[in-house]
Amino acid sequence: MVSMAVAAKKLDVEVGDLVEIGGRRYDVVSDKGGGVALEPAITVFSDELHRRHGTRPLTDAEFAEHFGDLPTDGEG
Amino acid sequence: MSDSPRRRPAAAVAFDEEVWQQEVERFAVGSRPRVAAETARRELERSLPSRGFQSCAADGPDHSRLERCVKLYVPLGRSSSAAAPYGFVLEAALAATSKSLELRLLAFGERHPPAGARSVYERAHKRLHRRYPDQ
Repeated sequence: MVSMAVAAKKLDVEVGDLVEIGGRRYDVVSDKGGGVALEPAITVFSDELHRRHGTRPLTDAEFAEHFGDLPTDGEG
Repeated sequence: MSDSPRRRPAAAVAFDEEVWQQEVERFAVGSRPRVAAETARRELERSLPSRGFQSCAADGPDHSRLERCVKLYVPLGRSSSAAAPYGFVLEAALAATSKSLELRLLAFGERHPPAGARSVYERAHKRLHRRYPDQ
């Protein structure tokens, strides 16, 4: 059986870029091993969500007042 | 995770549909994570659980900074990584007019993903800070 050479599509992208493949958007991220990976894109951010929904973030004091007794797990 | 009873936060859980699309609908219809997220959303929209909410880390082990955020393991009501491999990260917000508290979804995903994929905490960090923790 004769093997066929596969020509790679060379992409001029770097970590932090947003790419679209097959109609889906991806963030180009580090794979933490020297290469890159594609992660389903995040394109709407917290500040925009606050504007959209008429809210603001809590201050540290407000958060402590309302949620200060919640446990933590050290995971993230 | 503590087993001690905790009060239910006096806040509504809110889901922005664009965030839902980016976080949950990235998984295939009928897949385990998507079904778990959809089930948890239905439960949260009926009533908030009296336990299970936890504060996120302001400086997590993966360098995610999720100050003023809380989380829930998904499926709800379970705690081990095997039983609840996913999580919702929610940002606390105050409505400008009504002054009511909201917990708005920032990210959904795996708590401990395989190498190369991003955890729910890293995705939440990006939605808060516009970049991943290692960028």
